[in-house]
Amino acid sequence: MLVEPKILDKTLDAALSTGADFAEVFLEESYSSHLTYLNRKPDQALVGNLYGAGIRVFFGHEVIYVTTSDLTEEGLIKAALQAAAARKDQQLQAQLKQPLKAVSFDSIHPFGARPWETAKDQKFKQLGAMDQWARSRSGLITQVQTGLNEKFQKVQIANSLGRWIYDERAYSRVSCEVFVEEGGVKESASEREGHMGTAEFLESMDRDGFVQTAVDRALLLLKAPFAPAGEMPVIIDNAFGGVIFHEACGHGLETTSVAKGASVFCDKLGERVAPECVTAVDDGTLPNSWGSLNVDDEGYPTRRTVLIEKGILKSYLVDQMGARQTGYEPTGSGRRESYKFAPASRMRNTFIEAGSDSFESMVKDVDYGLFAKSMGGGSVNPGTGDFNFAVQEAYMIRRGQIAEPVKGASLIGRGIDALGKIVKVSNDLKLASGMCGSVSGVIPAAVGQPQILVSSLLVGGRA
Amino acid sequence: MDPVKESFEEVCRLAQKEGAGVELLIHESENLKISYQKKKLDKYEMTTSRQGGFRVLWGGGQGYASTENFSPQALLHSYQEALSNAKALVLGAGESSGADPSGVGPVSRGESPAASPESLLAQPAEYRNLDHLQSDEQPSLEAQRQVAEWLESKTLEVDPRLTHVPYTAYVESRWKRRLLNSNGVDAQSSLRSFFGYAHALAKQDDQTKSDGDSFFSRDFSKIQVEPVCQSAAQRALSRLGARPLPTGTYPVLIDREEVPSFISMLLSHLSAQEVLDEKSLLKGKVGQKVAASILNLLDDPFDERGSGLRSFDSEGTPSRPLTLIQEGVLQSYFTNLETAQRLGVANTGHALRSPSSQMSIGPSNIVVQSGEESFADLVGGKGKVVHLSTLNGGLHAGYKASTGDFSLPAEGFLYEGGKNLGPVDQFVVSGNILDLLMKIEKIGRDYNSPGSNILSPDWLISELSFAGG
Repeated sequence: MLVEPKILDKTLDAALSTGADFAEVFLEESYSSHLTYLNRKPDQALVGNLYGAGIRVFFGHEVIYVTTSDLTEEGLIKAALQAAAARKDQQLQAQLKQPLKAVSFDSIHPFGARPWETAKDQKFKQLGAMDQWARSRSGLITQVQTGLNEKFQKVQIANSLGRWIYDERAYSRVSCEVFVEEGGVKESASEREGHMGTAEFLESMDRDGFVQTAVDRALLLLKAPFAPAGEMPVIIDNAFGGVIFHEACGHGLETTSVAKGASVFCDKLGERVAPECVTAVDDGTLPNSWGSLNVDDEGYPTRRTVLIEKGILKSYLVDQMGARQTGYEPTGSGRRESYKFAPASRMRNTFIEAGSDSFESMVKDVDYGLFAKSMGGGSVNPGTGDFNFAVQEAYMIRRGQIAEPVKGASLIGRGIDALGKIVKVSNDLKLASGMCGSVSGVIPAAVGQPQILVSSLLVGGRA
Repeated sequence: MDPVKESFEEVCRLAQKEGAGVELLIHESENLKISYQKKKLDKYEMTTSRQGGFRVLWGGGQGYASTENFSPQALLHSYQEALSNAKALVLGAGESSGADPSGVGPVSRGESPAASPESLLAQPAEYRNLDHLQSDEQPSLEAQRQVAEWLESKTLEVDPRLTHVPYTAYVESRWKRRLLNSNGVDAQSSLRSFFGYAHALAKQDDQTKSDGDSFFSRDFSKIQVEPVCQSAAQRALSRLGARPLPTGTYPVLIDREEVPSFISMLLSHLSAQEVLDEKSLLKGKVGQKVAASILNLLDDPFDERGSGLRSFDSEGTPSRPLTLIQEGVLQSYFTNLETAQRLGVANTGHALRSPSSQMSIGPSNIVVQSGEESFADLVGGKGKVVHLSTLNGGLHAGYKASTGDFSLPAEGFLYEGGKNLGPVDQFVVSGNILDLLMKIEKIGRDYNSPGSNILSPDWLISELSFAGG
C-alpha cells in the first residue's frame, strides 16, 4: 500500500467537490534499471524511481487530469482541488462517492527476486556471456551491445465507485545488437525478448539461439541486394510479424480513435472486415506475457477480448471514458505508461489466431513475391488506416520456393484493405514483445500471429 | 541556502571521501494541455514533474540514478545508488579485461587511462540570460480554453469535407533546469512555450486524408490561431484526390516541414560518442566534403525560433554557436567534456541528457543557411518534380542508422514545368542520407514553422528513387 485509505477518501472528496460525476486516484511507485554491455565490458548502469499520483475526474464526457509527485495528504488534496477547479465555472453541486472497498485478487503473473535484490555483477556476467558468444560466431563482427531493462511498478488505484485496488508488476527485457562490416559495407541487426516477470527468465531462455538470430541476420544483410519495388503477394512471418495487425488494425479498434470518429472501423461492429480465415484477439490474461496485467490502469480486471471472429468485427478495446462515449462495455483495456499520463484504451497481447494451413503450402502458392521474415518498426494513421512497416529481413519467393535474401523492403498499404487480402493463415502461432507508443505513453504490448499470406501488398524497395 | 543545495553539499562531502565527482541535474516542468472535440471540452490535463538525476564519476566509471523524491534522505540514497552503479561498471570491467580494479583505469568506454573526475565535470562559468526572449504574462483559463476550442472549430468551418479534427490541443509548458556539480557549478534556466496544433480529416468519395499545422510561441499574446486552422484545413483538403505515383526516379523538392526528418538522420553520425563507438558514418571525415557545396549547417543555441534554445548543456558547459558543415565540408562533431578529451578536440558543449538517462550528445538548434529561391522557383524546372510534403510514420518505419539507408512511405504532389498536376500517394522514397546530402541542388529562402529544433528552408534534390503503384 502506498497511501492510507482515509487519505484516498479525502482526496476523492476534494476531486468531486465541484460536481464531477466520477473521480479516480492512481498512485505509483516504480523502480527501473537499465544495464548495457558494450566494447566487451559493462558500459551503462542506471536506476530510477518514479513516485507520484494522477487524479482524474469526469464531468460527463469531459476528462480533467492533474498529476503530483507529492503523496502527502496535503499534496494529494491540493492536486484533487486543482482538478476540480478546472470546471468550477459550471457551479455544480459536490458529488458523493461510494465507500472504498478493497478488491483483492490472486496474481496470475508470478515473479522472482525484485530487480534490486539481485546483484548487478550477476546480470552483467550474463550480458557479457551473450557478447562473447556473439563475437565467437564471426570475424566480421565489429561491435556487440547487449542490454537488460527491468521495471518494478507498484500501483494503487481508488475511485469514487468505491473500488480500491493494489497491484505489483514486474517487467524485464533483454536485447542484443550486432554490428558487422565487410569490404566497407556496414550492417547491424538486433533482437529483443521480454516478459512480464523478473530477470530470472534469462536463466531459462535460449540465450545462444537468441544471439545467433541477430548474428545471422546481420551477416545476411551484408550480402543482400535491395528489395525490388511494386505490388506483390507477401508472406508475413509469425511472432513479431503480428506488428502489422497491431499497427494497421489494432490502433483503429481502440475507443481512443473510435470515439472521435477517427477510425476506419467506426460503425462496423457486426460487419465483415476480413476473410473468414481471420480471427483476432486481444488478451490481457496470458500468464507472464509481456502485455498482460492482473488489473488494468483503471483498476479493473483485464480479459480476453475477441476483436474479429471469422472475419466479423466483434468488439473494440474500451476503457472507462470510451465506454461512456460509445456505450460499449469496458474491456479492461485502460492503460498508461505511468502516473504522468491519463489512461486510454490500449492493446495488451494482440494476435491473429492460428489457422489450418502449413507454411510450406503458402510458399508453394506464390510464383513471385516476398517473404517478410523479420519486421522492424511501423506506424499507422488510425484516421485513414494508412500503415507502413520496415522489414528487417526478407527473402524473395520465386516459383513456390524461398529464394535470395533482400534488404531495405518496407510494406505500405491501408489496414482494412490488407486485412481483406489475407488468403491463408498458418497453424504456427507465436507471440513477441514490443513497446507501443500512443496517447497514454509507451507501454509493453505483445504482438503475434501465425504466418499469413496476403495476396497483394505494395512493397517499397529501390525502383 | 535552499534545501536542494544543502543536500547536494552533503553529498559532495561524501563523494570527496570516496574520491568521486558528482553532478545533479534537475528538471522541473508544468504542462497544461486542453483539447476540444465536437466543440466541447474533451481533455484538460495539468501535469507537474520534478526529477533529479545523479551522475557519479568514480575510478573511471560513471553511474546514474534518478528520483522524484527530494527529501534529504531520498537524495542521499539516490547518490549512493549512482555510486554503486559506477563501482559495478569499474569492477565488472576489471573482471572482463583482467585489469586491476583498484587502479586508476580502465575508463567506462575506450582504453585510455581514466581522466580525473574533476576534468570530466564542468567548471563554474557565465551563462547567457535568455529571460528577455519570453513573456511573463499568465493567460486566463478562459483565454486558454478559447484557443483550444478555436483550434478545432475554426478548422472545421473552412470546408464541409473536413469531418473531424481528431488530433488537436493547446499546450502550455514551463520548464526549469538546474545543474549542480562538485566543481561548484550551480546553473539554472527556465523556459516557457505556447504550442497548439490541429490535425484534420478530410473525406471525399471513398478517400480519407489527414494533415495539419501548428503554432509555437514564447509569448501568449502573439499566438495567431486562425492562420493555423486555415493552413491545417488546406493541407488536408489539398491531399484529396491523390493518385499513386508511377515508380521511377524523380527530382524531389523536400518540403521545409519535412527537411528536419532528413537532417535528424544525420544527428547520431555527428556525435563524437558514435564516432568513438565506431558507429558513425562520418568518422574520419572532418575536413572532407560530405555534402553539396550549397549546404551550410550551424548549431545555434540562441535562435529563438527553435525549441532547443538553451544557455548551457546537460553538463553545465555554456552553449555557443557551432559550424557543423561549411560549403559542404564537415567542420566538427558534437562533443561533450569526455568525448572531447578522448578525441583531443574542443568541447563544443553538446552534452545532452535527462535526469533519468545516461550521458548522450545532441544538438541545440540546427539551422540550415537559407538560399535565394521561392517555392515556385524551386518546382519551376522543365521536367517533373515530386514535392515530398509528408513522410508517413516518421523514421522508425524505414531508416537504418547503421547504414544511412532509408525507405520511407511518403505523400506529396507532382509538378511539371512548375504546374501542380495534383496530389500523389502510396509510394516509398528510398536512398541513403549521405548520398542525398551530395545531391542537394538548391535551398529555398523561406524557413519551416518555429517550434522544431531543426530550422530549414525547402531542399531541391537532383533525384531520388520512388516505388509507387
